[in-house]
Amino acid sequence: MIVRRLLATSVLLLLVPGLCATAGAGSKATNFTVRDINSKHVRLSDFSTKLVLLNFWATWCKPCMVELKHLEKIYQKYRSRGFVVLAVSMDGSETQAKVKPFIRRYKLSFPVVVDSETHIVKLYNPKHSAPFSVYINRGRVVKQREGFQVSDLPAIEKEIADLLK
Amino acid sequence: MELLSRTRGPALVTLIAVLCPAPAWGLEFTLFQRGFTLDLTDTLTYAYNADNRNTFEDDDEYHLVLNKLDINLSLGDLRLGGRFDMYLYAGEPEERDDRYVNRFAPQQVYFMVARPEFDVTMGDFYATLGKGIALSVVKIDELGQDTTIRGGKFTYHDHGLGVTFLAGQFNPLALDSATGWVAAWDPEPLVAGRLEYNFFEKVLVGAHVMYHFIDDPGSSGAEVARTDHDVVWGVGVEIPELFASVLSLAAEVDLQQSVVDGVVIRGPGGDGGLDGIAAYASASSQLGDLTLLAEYKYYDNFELRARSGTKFEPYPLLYHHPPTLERLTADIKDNTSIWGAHLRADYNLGQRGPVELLVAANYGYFEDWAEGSDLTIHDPFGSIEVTWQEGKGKLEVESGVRRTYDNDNDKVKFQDIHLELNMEQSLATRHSLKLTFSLLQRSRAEFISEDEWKEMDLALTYKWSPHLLLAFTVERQEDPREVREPENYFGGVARYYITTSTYINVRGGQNRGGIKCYLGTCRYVPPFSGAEVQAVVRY
Repeated sequence: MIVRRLLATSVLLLLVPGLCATAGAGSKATNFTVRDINSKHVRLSDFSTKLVLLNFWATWCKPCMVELKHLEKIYQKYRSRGFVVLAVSMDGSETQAKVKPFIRRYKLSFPVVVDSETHIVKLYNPKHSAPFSVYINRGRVVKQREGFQVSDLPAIEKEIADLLK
Repeated sequence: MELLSRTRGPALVTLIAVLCPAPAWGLEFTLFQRGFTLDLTDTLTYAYNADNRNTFEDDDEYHLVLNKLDINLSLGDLRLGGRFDMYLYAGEPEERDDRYVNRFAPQQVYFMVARPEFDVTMGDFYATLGKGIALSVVKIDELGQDTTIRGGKFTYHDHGLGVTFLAGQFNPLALDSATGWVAAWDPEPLVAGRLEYNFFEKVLVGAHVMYHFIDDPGSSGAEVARTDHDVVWGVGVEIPELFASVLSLAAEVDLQQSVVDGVVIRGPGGDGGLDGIAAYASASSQLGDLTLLAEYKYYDNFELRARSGTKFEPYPLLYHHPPTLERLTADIKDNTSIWGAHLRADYNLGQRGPVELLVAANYGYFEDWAEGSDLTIHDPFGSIEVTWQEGKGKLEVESGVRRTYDNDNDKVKFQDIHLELNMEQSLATRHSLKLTFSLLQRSRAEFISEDEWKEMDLALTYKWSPHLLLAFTVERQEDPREVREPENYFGGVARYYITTSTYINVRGGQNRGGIKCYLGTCRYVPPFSGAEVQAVVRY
């Protein structure tokens, strides 16, 4: 009986988003504080008036690297309109040293934080997906995106442009 | 259809009606005049496991329904969360009490107060101190390894000051999520703390201590007193921007003391000299289009691991992850008594005709003197990255030879020649094709036998953004002893995205298992043969 109820609950949870509309004002984003690659504290609330693309990546994730290079171009195009990429490195102690050289190699100019304790991951990306993006518009979570291939680029740019309107 | 019975049907409709007006990402509702937010991530999997062609029959021909539901409920700065796992088995080949166990259990339940200046977490949490040499308990997805610390953690972070204090026990989950084994882990208490300060926002200095109580039943079966312990002290410094951001430096030194039956067997106070020490340093620099990275490690008899026997020997759970300096998938025999260095140089050649070029060269050198070993390792490898059409096409090739010499006879004991290739091409608007290929030619010389074999993985992926992803995989595994014929494994994946983060994934065919190594941790991953349907929902 318990098992049947659990199954029913699971099915229900799967059905709900499919039956609901896919647009909304979004839920309030939980604040966090972590150190960036220059050891300075960065808070999500520092960007409370902007459209933040919280991008989860790691140096061992090949699609992440491709996505970050493209995000740099989009960031340069829309930063004057209040768009910011906040790149969250999920690199642990084994690969953390590679983060800064990677940022330098690809000349990425947006803020990069290192979440070695998976604090932000726990709040926004509990499946530990990479690459994974969360769009936070003026303090509210409005969209999420998992995975990246270059064919996703037009959709990503359109999403950002629409949210900045 | 019981769900849609007269009594439950309206309840279902009502619930959907209540939930639907909420935004698609996060559900907001008001209770006791306070605004709550509910975030859910659910992964529901049905898998049919056929004969996976390994030598065991007790992991064939069974069905599994697995549901992992992450729930987070927020109210202002307060957050209550957890993951609820459900394992349901059918047709399992035999009754066992350590595998194929039906269970529904809350995992990783926590309560958090997240203020701008501090966080307090009660329940399950991950933790890392400094460079992860003294303590690092995090999830390693690639190996399905996921354990936590259960207890309390306090973190303060403001005005350059960082303070962390935690107390609890390792391994509360007692379940290996990759295989479904119920582990024989015992709770192992620990307390730890770290203090760090960023002087002038230029120099970060930190110090930490970790005290791990050991409760090992030992060979007699009688529990020993908790005077047994591991204690680790560490100090570190980071200077991220030197000489107008041209140079970055980081270093950490840790000391470990192990006491068993009241006797110091490792570290200060013992008779092992300088053992129980771990030192790590890194430097990176940017000189125009040249990027440099240098890393150094010196570990002498430094190891922190689960004391209880597990089903996963000889790859026990590690409670720390000291940097290995090695390639991600290198089969690392030992990282406890070893010194070595890794150098990497990247040069951005820029636009050359229709393409943009970036080349990288790496060299790793290590000397391993762990018990029973006297090895020297050379690991040179290089890569080239070519992009075209403003990044719409990309090719990356990496190759190298990792040789391990036995210093007793100067012969090559292990050799891995690896070749990895990643290629992606945008075909038209919203259509792209990706190819990944890896080939590992391995050899080992032990005692009187010399074995050579190949391992190969290939995946071809097509994506029609944002809806559909199709993948075809081929894997090949040769038997080192050449007793069995080489095995080929064919598989396919189809994924349909309902939204950009909610999808249904169907997988069929086979995947080879074996010893898989990632980030310095290795473990046996069972092969898979059968079919799997998975739905991932986030809202």
